[in-house]
Amino acid sequence: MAEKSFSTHVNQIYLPGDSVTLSKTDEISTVKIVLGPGLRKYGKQILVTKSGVLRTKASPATYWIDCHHKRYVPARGDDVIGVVTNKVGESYKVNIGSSEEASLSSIAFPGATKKNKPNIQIGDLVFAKLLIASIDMEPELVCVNSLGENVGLGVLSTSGFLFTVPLHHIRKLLNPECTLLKSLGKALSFEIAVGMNGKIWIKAKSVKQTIALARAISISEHMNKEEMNKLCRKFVDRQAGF
Amino acid sequence: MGPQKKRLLLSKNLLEMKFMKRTKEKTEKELEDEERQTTFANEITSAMLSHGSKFLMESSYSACENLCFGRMSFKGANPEIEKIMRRLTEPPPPKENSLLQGEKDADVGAEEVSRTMSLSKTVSRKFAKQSLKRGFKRPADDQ
Repeated sequence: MAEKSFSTHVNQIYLPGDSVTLSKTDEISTVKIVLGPGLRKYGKQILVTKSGVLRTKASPATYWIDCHHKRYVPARGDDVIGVVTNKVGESYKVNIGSSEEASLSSIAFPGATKKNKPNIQIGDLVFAKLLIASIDMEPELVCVNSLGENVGLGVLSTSGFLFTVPLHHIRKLLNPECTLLKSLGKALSFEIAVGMNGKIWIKAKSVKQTIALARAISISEHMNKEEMNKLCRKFVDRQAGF
Repeated sequence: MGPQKKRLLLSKNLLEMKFMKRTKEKTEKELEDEERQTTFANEITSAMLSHGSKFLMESSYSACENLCFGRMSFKGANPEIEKIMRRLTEPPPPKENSLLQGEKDADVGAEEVSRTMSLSKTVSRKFAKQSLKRGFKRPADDQ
């Protein structure tokens, strides 16, 4: 059974090459359907290109494949954490974990001009948005929005801690329904940057707290909501000195 | 090229001004779209026209899953980031698009304005003057 219908087979496992047929209501309706990562249009068929679970969302009708990944493939609009590896003329080369290094222009920072450039050293961490992510071209990063405003992107302080987790864990952490970071935030004062490329940067008041937070986040990978809540309670108790 | 409708464009100098940033961006996008349409016009097949418009490709998970912004700060660790977080989570103030909504928080209501600003008094005074000149008197003035 290679062909499965969208509406009835959501949350089922698909393999690359499986084709998906539209449900009758989607076929008739003129509403646009968004095909997310893992799905591709091939002629009149919709083919699966990643092995994973089919997920869906209403308004706009979106379908995508949720899968386990460790290697990051750049996607336009993602916020990622990168390590500055080189400076080439007016731009920096940034390692974001993809097959090719991304470029970050030195004037793509809030308030930066040709004369007034940001102070970035090789080895610094930057939290930036992917402006261009094409399969044939080098990815391009920016640290401003289209109006040139500061939107929380930019260089991350050197006193933080960077670690890597699988990509599906990042998606779980950033899901609006996930309360892990919020409940940890109620217990401790810290700042965090979560990159879609699997990198997380954390900075708390002390080294001990930073390590504890990083540990709590990385062990919550396979936890569900209740287990996360339990972990948070335990963590808060531990911090309070019990 | 056939006879084209000449589009009204804002001057370059005007678009360079600071307050025209948004408009500049809009016009740039329009021009880009137009250019793209003309360059790829002869490459669009009928199948693309009939079927292709139904689907949109989205390569980013963050758009599919409505993910939150990844930069966060808690308990005042970075006040600047917390300000941005608040701006992202709080809905923007509602726009005053209807007259009725403006009425609610106005100092002076529309009714009061119509009462004080209306021309009826002025006009009546004018007529009263004219009638005085002609020798007529209002019955009320007799008293």
